[in-house]
Amino acid sequence: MTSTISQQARSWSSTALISAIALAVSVPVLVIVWSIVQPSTDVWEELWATRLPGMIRDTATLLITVLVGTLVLGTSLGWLVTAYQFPGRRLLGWLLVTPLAVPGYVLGFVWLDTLQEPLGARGVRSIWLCALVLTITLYPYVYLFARAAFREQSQRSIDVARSLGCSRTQAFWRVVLPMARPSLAGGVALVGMEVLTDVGTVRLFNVSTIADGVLRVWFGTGNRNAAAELAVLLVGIAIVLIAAERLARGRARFTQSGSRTGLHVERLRGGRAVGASVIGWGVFTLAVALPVYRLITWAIEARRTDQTATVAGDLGFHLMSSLRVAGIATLSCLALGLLFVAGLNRRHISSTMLARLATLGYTVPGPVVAIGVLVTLAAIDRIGWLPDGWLLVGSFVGLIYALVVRFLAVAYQGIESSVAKVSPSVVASARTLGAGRFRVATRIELPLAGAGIIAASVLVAIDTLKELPITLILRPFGTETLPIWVWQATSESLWVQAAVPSLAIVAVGMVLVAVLLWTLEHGAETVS
Amino acid sequence: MNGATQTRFHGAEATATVPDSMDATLEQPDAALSVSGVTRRIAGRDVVDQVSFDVTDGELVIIVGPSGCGKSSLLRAIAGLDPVAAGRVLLDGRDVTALPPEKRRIGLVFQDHALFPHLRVEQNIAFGLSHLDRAVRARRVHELLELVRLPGVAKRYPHELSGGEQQRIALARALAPDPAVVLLDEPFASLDPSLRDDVRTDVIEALRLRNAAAVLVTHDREEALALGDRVAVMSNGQMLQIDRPEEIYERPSDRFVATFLGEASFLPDPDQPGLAMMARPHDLDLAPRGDDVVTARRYMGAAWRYTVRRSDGSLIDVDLPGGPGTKPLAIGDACTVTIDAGHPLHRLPA
Repeated sequence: MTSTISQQARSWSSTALISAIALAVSVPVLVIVWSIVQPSTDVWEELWATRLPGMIRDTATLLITVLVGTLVLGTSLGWLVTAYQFPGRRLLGWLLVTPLAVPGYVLGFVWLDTLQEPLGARGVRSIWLCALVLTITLYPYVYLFARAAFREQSQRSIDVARSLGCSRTQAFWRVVLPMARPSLAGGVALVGMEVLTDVGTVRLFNVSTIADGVLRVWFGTGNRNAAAELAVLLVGIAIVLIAAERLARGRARFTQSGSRTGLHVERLRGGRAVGASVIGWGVFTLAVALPVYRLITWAIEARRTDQTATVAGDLGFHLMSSLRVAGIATLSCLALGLLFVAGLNRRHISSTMLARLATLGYTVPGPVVAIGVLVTLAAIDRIGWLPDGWLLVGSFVGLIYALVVRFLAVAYQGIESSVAKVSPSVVASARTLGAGRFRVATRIELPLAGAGIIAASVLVAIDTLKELPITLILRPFGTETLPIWVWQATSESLWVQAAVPSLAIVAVGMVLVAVLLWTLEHGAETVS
Repeated sequence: MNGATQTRFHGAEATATVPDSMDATLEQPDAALSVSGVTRRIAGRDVVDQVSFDVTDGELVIIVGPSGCGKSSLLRAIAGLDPVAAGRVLLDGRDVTALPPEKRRIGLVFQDHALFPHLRVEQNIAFGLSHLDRAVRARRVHELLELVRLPGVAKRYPHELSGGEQQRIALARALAPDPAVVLLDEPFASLDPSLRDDVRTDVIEALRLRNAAAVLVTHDREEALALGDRVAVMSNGQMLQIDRPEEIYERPSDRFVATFLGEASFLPDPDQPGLAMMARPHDLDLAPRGDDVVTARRYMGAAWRYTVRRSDGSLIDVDLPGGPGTKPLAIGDACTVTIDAGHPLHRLPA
């Protein structure tokens, strides 16, 4: 009797805690949406008369071009390394993920400088080149999803399609690709968010997107209401993007029952094998090898001319700044994500609603989150709950809060899906052997889902390491991350100065990508 | 005779050498499917070893064998999904050995249905009909749904159907393009035993109605004997025997075929050394008293099955009728095994 009461009390308190977190994490987004209710008409009118139509056009053009580009590139490369055998396939399969470690604003200025000679100073700053750069740095999202989807498919579907008159190529278009569609859409949706979030790359190429506009309005006028209203446009585009995919999916399912035999791998020979290798290595060269090579030569020059520090500090200072922000943000996301997965009863509708609420941030571009957090924190500061002289705006806590709002979803969904893969019968066996909820979580679920949890954390770490718009708007005095250094140097076209921090980002990113790949390979073993 | 075959089937000479043993089983001119000397080699091992057989229109041939015997590999080779190392596959007299699967006109049904999960039932069935125009296609889909007795499910998705319904749709899809032969790989193995009989009956019925030639692969000997017009037993890549169910059960060509299709004991033939007599448990009787001993017994409803240790130490299974009033023997009882078949026992190589 007493035990049920205490159990109930515990369940109440955990629900209350989780609800509080979900609310705290969703407020900044809700604040932005709310801002549309009382628009500051004068700023709005001026924007509409001057820059807004151009912003919308550029955002749409960039978004569509990059979505199509990453879809084509990511899917074809995923299919190439899954369905065909050619020299270097295994190595390429990994290397093609590494562009994740090279942020668009780094790849962008390398290409900008490389193509300045042939295209001219004006010609090089084009929206198409910007789209190309974003495509080449963002395709790994689609590539990873595509590869996973193709690996899950069964050869029998292709066999049946062929017996019904399809050639291998037709079977790909009519069966393999449609069945992979939800995964591809998931990857493309991530790419869409990244494009809407991007401020570093578009600034390099003089493309004025809405995200860029939010930043300009904020830094130009300091009017956070106007910035918030502009940000609503981004939320609108993001919602349309997600709704379109949900609608298209309808009632159809995309997974098959029965045994997974895996796809048969066709060995390529002669010219076709060479062609496949050339394509793979070509993409890797453009996305990783070339920029790393140029960054190294610039960094050597920077060392020679003594440009390896800023007024704020040297490389070590900026690196520590970045690691501190990324590390604390990642650990916070991980802790909250685990709390959510452990505390939520997956069968309850209310808990799915809570999960939706808490993960709202990831469907909202970075500048929106930054402005939303700013508005929220400013309101709290005005109430004056905190001791004299303490302000949340411009504090380290505020920055971490914003990063958690944006990236909690990445951690939560990663942890949730890997815990969900733990077989219910394994959990049931543990329960009948006398293990309580907590013991099951620590002894069974966490070890089995370990690889997936590490992978989710690494994704958050990569994202926060590269993060620019939120840090730009909310960083406290004395926190100067590597991306900020790159941003300051490149906005004055000082490539040599930008090389050292860029190289540091790529190096840390490469380590994280290596850990990610390792967990993806090993996660597959523990789950099956 | 090889020469005659090659002139009749133009182009066959390019593909394979026909082994001498094939002379005895030359393709029947009206065979829907004719397989001769087909060999499938994986890593130097013949997983299908010179297999030859024919299937006529409307006939259902069932290939049965233990798992790993090469029966599924044979099916894949016939379908053209895997290359053959030697031999030929003819469909309606046309040599298709060198053709890719999409050019062969073969219907395929797998154990896991392999329905396309992203397409509605009608789209699944119409998948192989893209060359037809809309109206004809719709009519064909309708016909096939009638044939498999699922007229109302056209607009549903595969995951909204039961396992048995999915399997019937998989058959309808395979039959839609009017294939020369339908190949079914363990089609009923994934079904719930309570459903299996119904689905089996419906599938066989549909095949009969279309007068389709069909090859079905299974590891279930009762399924093979009950359903097949002819039954083929495979082991280690070789087709040991192919014949009508009662022939192959009563007159197996060797001990493996005999024991794979049912319980059998082998007694030395007193007249012909080198031959053995095959005794099924119901061919035997037990006389009271003697040097043999009952070591185990099992009640099987219609009969009691006794395991008896004979005086020479060998074990032998004997079925005796059960029913009210019969008094079963007990374990440890002494007895004598006698032959009570009502027909001469089948003889095969010892």
